[in-house]
Amino acid sequence: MTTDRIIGVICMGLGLAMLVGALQIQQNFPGTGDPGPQLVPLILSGLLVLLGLSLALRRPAGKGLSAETRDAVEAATEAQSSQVGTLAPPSLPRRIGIGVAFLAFLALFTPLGFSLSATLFLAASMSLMDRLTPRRVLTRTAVALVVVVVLGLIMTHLLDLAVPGVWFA
Amino acid sequence: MFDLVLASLVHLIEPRILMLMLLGVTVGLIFGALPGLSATMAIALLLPVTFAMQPDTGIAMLIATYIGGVSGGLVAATLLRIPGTPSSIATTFDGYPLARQGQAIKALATGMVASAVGSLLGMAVLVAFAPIIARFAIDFGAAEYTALTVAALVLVVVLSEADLTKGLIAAVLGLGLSTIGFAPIGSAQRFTFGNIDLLSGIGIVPFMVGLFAVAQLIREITEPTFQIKDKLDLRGKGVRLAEFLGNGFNMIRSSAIGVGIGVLPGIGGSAANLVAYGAARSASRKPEEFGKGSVEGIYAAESSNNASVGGALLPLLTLGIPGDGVTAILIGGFTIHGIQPGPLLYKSEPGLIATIYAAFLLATFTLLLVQLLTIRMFPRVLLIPRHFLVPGLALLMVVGVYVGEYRTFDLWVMLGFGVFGYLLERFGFPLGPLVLGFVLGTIFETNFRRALMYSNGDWTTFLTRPVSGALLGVAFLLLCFSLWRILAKRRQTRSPA
Repeated sequence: MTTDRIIGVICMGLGLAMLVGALQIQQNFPGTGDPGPQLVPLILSGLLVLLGLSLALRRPAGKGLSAETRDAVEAATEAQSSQVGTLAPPSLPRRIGIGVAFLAFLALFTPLGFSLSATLFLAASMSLMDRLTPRRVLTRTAVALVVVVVLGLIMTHLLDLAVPGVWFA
Repeated sequence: MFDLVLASLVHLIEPRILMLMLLGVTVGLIFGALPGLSATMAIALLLPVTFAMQPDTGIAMLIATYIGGVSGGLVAATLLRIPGTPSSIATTFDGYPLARQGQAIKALATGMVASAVGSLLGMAVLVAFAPIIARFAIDFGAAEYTALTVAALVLVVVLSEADLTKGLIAAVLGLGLSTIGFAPIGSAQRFTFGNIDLLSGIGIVPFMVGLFAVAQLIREITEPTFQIKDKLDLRGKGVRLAEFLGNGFNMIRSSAIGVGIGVLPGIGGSAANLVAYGAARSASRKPEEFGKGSVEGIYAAESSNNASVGGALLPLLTLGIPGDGVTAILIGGFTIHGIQPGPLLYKSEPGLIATIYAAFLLATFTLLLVQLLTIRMFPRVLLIPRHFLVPGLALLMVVGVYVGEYRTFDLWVMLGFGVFGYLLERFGFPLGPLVLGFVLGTIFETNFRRALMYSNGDWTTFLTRPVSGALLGVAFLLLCFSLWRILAKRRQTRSPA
């Protein structure tokens, strides 16, 4: 519930910021009857403030889903078969590593080109998803290379896409 | 129209287009089969790939992906009791018990055949009713379109069964995001903060891929996921003709439910399969067999969720109003290919409508063929280890978003919306209204301002025009009904048991 209150306050803040932004929109000779480009953002900012206020002030409510739907979803998701187990997510340092690898991939995609940046990203993230052993790193780098080459060929030859830095394009 | 559909079919079976449709069906099937992934993600990723194609080829590929995505969910639902997509929840009730009785192939094949029949019946309804609705909607003016977008948004919020306040906030946020960039009428810049990349607004592809795909990847690496411990049990034989024929009426009824629910914005296949399953059980001569491996249950669930595709396409094609995430992306795809869905499409582009019908038909048969031919092989996609799947998907997302506009800026927008979508879902905000708000925002504002211009600034125009007034009335009543339900629930919890 505290979270809802915080989110409500954030929404109000966002609504107020939108209001300030909307008031600065330049109106370029609107026609007769045309409310201009300010009105919709102004209405939305007002609504956001009101809805944020209602979220921040309200008392706890029940869960959104109807009882029937909830039961059905729970029955389907909780009573999984005995064949299925749960796989824990990667540890926190690995998650951070994967996140950094992804950010680096986004930043280096254009400067390094598709094939090199994608191979580095795939090899790093595939290795970080699991326990690191030299053999695993080696096999996953090989898999990354194959995936990148095949995807590059599909993009350039089947789909006619002009992606920078594709090997064998 | 029949001649046009036939000509389109001939065009679509050209090897290159057929291969692209096959690719679309396969990608859709894989995304539908893997729990956590969805048809929405598949289409969002493939949409930019279609930009370089001819409009008919691109749209055929997207429709193939859509149908594949809805059908793929039955694999995990049948073999693992995990619905691959929400539209396969009811398939778990009987598909899994039947598979555990050593009849996995029968359960899968029944689902596949029912999916194909559901798709065809959904398409039949689309073909029959779309021109009628389009003819009715051709008289819609700006006021009617304004009211229609408002009604659609309210309907999505109310029907999504989410918290009403949070649903409305999500819708307003979506509308707010659509105001970034140049205003739809005039050239006023809004909320661009001097950034040249924001002038044309936020792209639909980075927005959708971020919300649906990146957010899911964040969940994949931060939350526990499923892991298959044993070998998949793939025994048994296929469908019996007598059973198929005996379920004819069941499939027609379920498909009618699927289409009916598919038309409504925001719920689609996820509710259709549960309602159709319930209806089939009530009408069955052997209701006691439901939940224990009844083929009737599988026929009902799988035909209804595929029929909802035809239902969802109905408002998209005839009114230009998307009803869910998938159709919201499709409308983005249509616009990018220079096609404006709506009643005029039926008059101005009958060839394109024929291509959509032909693609629907061809995709349904291609899908059935692919599914039946790979029935013992395809389920192994469930065994793809997460350490290959997650990075592979991340790669596809980046490439998919980049090739949309060839802008690095879009990659950061995608990442931003991924984090935003993850946080929204974590705090109980539905994504449907956000997406619909974003997609309908421009349609709403353009028509809202036009309606006021046509009426010289008279706001009563929205209420005095019959269709517009009726639509706004429905939206208002729906909101009142939702509020009344919340208050009634509160009163119930406050009164002693």
